[in-house]
Amino acid sequence: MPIYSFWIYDRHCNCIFSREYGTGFQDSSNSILRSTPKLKVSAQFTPNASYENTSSLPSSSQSTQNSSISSGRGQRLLSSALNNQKAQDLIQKGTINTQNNNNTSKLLFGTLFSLRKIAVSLCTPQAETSQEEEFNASNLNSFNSLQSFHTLNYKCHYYETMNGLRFVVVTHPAARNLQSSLVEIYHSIYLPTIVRNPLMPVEYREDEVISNDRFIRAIDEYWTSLEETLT
Amino acid sequence: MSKQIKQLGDDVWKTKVEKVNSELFTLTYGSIVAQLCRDFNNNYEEVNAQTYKMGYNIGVRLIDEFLQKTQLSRCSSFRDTAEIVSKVGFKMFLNIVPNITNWTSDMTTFSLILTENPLADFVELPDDGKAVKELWYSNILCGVLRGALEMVQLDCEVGFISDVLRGDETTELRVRLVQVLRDEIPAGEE
Repeated sequence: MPIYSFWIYDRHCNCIFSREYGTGFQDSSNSILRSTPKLKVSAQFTPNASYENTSSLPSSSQSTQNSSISSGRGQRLLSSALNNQKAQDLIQKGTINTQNNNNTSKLLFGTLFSLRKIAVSLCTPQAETSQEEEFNASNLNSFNSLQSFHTLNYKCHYYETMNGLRFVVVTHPAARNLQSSLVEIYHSIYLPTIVRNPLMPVEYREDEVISNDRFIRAIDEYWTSLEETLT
Repeated sequence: MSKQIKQLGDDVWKTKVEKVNSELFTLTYGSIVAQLCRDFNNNYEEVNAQTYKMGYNIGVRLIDEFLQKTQLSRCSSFRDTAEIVSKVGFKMFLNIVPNITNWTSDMTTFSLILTENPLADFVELPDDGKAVKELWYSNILCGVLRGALEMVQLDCEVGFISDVLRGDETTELRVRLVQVLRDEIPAGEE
């Protein structure tokens, strides 16, 4: 399940980070969003009264995958060397922040934006008072949230925080749902390296992007550490 | 529901929050305010504005940490928001739970009564006769609330209306919802 690209949009709808991985896929990536056969949308309805944890982090699942790939020790060494090679390829052949303002980025955002709007409008909880209605009118107020969609060529995973950040990763269509990974990236990478970093802005100016080395390295490490992205 | 929220606040405070010595915290804030008073020649209006601004800048980042640690979903009414602010927000960052009272009939304004205020321990306002009328010592809290709520689409006005440091009976923070902000839409889309 190769990983193709990773994007972050801020609440002003600007792409503040884009990362393409060297899977040989980016040659056709400009046309990737033009062909969308067999669109499938999966959305989840969460009752608005629930304050329980809706997304639990799969911190353990990652390690189990790592350890279960091969049984023999030699085989494991070989495969890890191979994987290292692949990981290097992925990272080095990719591009960072070169796509932020082009059509692919904008189309991707537009697609997600519209899909989310549809998902929300199909099923919105009944408001009892006018104030609740006002609360629900905000589109971000999506109890009925978009998780992913896929076509024949790719699968697009989506996670949106309540303060309007949107994390998107595009992978091979056979991938499992990676929304939990996006949540983890927000929690364990974005928060310590960007939010807690006084040198990084909260509001990005137009054309301003995240070029923080530590952040980029952490993101690359995270995606290549998922065993499945290399196979 | 209210109980659930309280439970959540307790859990987050107990298990997920890094803690510092409260005296260190109190004294650091105190010296910031004292320094501001010196820097602006006891122009307390300006000191209020500066602490508010500091708070705002804290709030816009603090909300990320809040969302991460609580994993809350969106509130369905402003009443919920008030509960969350008091029982989870104040609990997790200051370990206090202010009382929510004085709702207006249109449910857009409420008061938080701070029964204890860790910022104001050991504090005496300057006795120049001016400070007790003009300085809102803990004004940074207003800024934090304002910044954090704005990031989740709630445009609010926040301000103190009484403070025990000034000789009032209670410390009361007033929060008024101005509007629920709409999502921004990408340029060129309807």
